[in-house]
Amino acid sequence: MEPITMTIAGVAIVVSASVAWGINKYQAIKRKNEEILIAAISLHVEKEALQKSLSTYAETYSLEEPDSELIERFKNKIKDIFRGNIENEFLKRETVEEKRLFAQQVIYELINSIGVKVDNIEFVHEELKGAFGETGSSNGIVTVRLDEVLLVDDPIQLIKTACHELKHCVQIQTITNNVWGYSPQRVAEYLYSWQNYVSPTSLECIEAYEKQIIEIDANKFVDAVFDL
Amino acid sequence: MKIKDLLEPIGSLKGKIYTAYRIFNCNPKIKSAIKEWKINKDLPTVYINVRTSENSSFEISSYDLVDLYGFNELAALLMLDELEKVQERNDKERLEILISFLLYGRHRTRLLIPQSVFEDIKNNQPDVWKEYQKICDAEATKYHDLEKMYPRIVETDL
Repeated sequence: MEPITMTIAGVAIVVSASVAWGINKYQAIKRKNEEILIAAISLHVEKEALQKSLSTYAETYSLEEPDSELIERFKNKIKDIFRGNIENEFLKRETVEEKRLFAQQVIYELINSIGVKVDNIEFVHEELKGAFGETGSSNGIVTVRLDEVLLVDDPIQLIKTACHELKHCVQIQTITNNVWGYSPQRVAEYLYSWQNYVSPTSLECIEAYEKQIIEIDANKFVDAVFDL
Repeated sequence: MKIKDLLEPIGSLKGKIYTAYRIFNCNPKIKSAIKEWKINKDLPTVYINVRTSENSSFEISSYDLVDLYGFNELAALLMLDELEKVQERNDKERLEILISFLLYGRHRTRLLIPQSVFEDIKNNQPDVWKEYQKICDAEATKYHDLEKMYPRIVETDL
């Protein structure tokens, strides 16, 4: 497929036709989001509102002691790699392929810093159907998929999503091999929540998604890593 | 056409119960769009205007939800219904949540936990198993009322 040169935020980037298509779509999502945000300015719509809405558990839910160590390691690794400017490090890589390799290297460094089991990292777009990321485990093979459009359009969101997905990987591993020492209650919560997972865009009510411990847990984890 | 005709592709009973309950409570406009979608196998274009304050609003369609936000077609129609309902109730807090959910809830996971994992936990991690049973018992009581209504709801005409 012929490469295409696109200009994003004033920077020319060489991308494949499929990535260019994804970027255009992502821009359409951003435009719609902006339209919604402008209309909803009086409503104080923020990520925190979603976090708050994560129902009964959200306000009383606390990360456990093992999380503090994982958060600290992620924080240090991100600080070492990006020196406070995630976008800048991605901008230094000109092509999508270079950005992909860099992101992959960063994510493997994060994985190694906490010793979590992840078998595959994939950068895809269409398959995610509008999601930023996805974690799945099938026959013991753990795969993290991230939206490749974020490589070009929103590297900060990419790294945040990667951290979110890696916390899901910690949850999966904890169910079968609790190497970090989470409490029995937390392991049971992970087990129940994974067994009864409700997708955010599924037919079940949004409240069912909001009540899920694994999402509250992963969101709180990312907020702590990025000091939100 | 009855509500139960729409539930076939949904795997879990919990999913069926939730979905049936949501369809049952839809306003007539969305119910009719669901019927049209089921008959024609084509998503009807439904626009709604979401009023966020006296002076501001935004428009969102069934196609926006599917194309931009990754909803499946039935879920998109149900989301439009929910957005309309919170406006009717003038429930600003819930509207905030739904909009935040649209803008920031773009993530999914999938994991099939093999039966052997449950067996292993049951046999080798009694503390975890005890906590797991407690959660299951607590969750079961939450769906009790919905479950009671389910047989009547699914026989309702769209």
